[in-house]
Amino acid sequence: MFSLNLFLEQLINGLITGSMYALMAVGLSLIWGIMDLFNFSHGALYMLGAYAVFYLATALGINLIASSFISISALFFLGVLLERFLIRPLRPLQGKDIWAWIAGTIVVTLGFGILAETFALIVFGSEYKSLPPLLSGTVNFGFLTLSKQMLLSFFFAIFLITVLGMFLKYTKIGIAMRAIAQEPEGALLMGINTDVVFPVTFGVCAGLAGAAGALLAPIYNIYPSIGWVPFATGFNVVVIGGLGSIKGSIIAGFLLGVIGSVSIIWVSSGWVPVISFGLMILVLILRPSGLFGVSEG
Amino acid sequence: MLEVESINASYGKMQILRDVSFHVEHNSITALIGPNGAGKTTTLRTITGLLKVKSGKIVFKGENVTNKPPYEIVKKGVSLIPEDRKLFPYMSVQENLMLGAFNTRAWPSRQRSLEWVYGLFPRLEERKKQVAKTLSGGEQKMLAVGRGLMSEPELLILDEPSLGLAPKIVIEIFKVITKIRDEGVTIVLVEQNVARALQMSDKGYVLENGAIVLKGGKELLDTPHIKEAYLRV
Repeated sequence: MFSLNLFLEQLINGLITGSMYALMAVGLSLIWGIMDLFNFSHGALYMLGAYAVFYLATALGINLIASSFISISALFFLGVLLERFLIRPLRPLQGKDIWAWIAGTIVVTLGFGILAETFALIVFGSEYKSLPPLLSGTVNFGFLTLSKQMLLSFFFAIFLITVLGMFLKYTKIGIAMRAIAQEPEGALLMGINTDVVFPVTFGVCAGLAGAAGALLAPIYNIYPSIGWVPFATGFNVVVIGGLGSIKGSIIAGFLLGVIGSVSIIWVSSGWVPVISFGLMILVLILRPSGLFGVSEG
Repeated sequence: MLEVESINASYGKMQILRDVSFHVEHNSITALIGPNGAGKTTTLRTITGLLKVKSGKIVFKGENVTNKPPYEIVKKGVSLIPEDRKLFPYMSVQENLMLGAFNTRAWPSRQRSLEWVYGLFPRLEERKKQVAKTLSGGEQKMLAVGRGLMSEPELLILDEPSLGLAPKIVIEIFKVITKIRDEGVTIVLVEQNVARALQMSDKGYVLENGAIVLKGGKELLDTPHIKEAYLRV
């Protein structure tokens, strides 16, 4: 039974979820495009972002918005440290043995992901934690009923993506990041110092993952393994949108969010991952480089 | 200005350069010529830090820059215009040029450098908002040269600047090279057009199979080896 109201409501909800997917995917895409590695710790960074906001808000009583900013900044610094101590030592492998580089970066990022989850399990405990939202209740737009908190998170996500876009286009280091993504040796010949750009790149992406975690913390429950599904979804979005394409990650993120949300009208929610991964396989078969493939900075 | 002393370099297990040595005088034009695969580009990569040498020394302006990372060498005043251009494909002509001045030394005067480059290559100014990928081969080469100039280099290295270009544009580019030398820049030229390269240069080095086999000034043009191998006389 088709109901326009329901469809529109799910469409909007899909855009909201999609904005979170986009946040996760953009970080993965940037790291792939600029640093040539796939960040298997992305889910862990999301999880840590959520926990950071939780403890800042509940244990220290800091308001949710400030907690989110602090959490994102903390994740940024964590990302810088991760690049410096986990990834930089592996860099000589890039020239010598590309498979060792790929294997090494997977092991190292995945390892950190597992380590972080274990840390959370021991230190935070396995019970579900829930964070009271900043805005409770719903708002009505005519026939649409939407959660206020979800709307807030949505606008914050859009804000972050916009800021990222401006950062990449107008700041010196953003331009350097795009240059490395488009032509790595050319970038080196321009005097760009990857020892500075890479940590910042990783930090920015960690911040984005942490932001996604922070924005969803007041909406869903928090537990140590929450990172893996967003990571898988991010991976899914990046493949569909095209590895290395920011525009692709954003559009595919919203697309997947909408498709997932709207399909719930007709099928049970258990089918959503099937549909998402099915789409990914379809894209891989028909257009392996993704909808907007090829690094475009 | 530049001393390359007995460098040996390999790609993996394959040795490319064997005890290559040459000397570049301040404000001169030095040519590095030789057949394809001789190791000319490899030599340039070691000088600019893109490739590490297994042994030997590279000294620039009295400083040992052997195996230093590219960004350090660029900051000291070396600019390489690679054979394959290495432009930023999805950025505009102007964005590519501005990136040329990225290292801190030339950055503050980038607007002035930009006007200078546009003066040398008016066609680039016409297309300044055009995305680099969509430029013609000749325009891309001009952009690569222009971008290399933006860093206000003391040593400008050009790897096959005339390759694949229409003769009219080749003349334009070589005019620019002479003009830059007159402004005090030291030039290293890798060229397949041996006659033109030696005519322009103060000194030439011939690289074959990874080793320097001949060196000299314009008299090289009269040596039998050069005439038979490269000038098809």
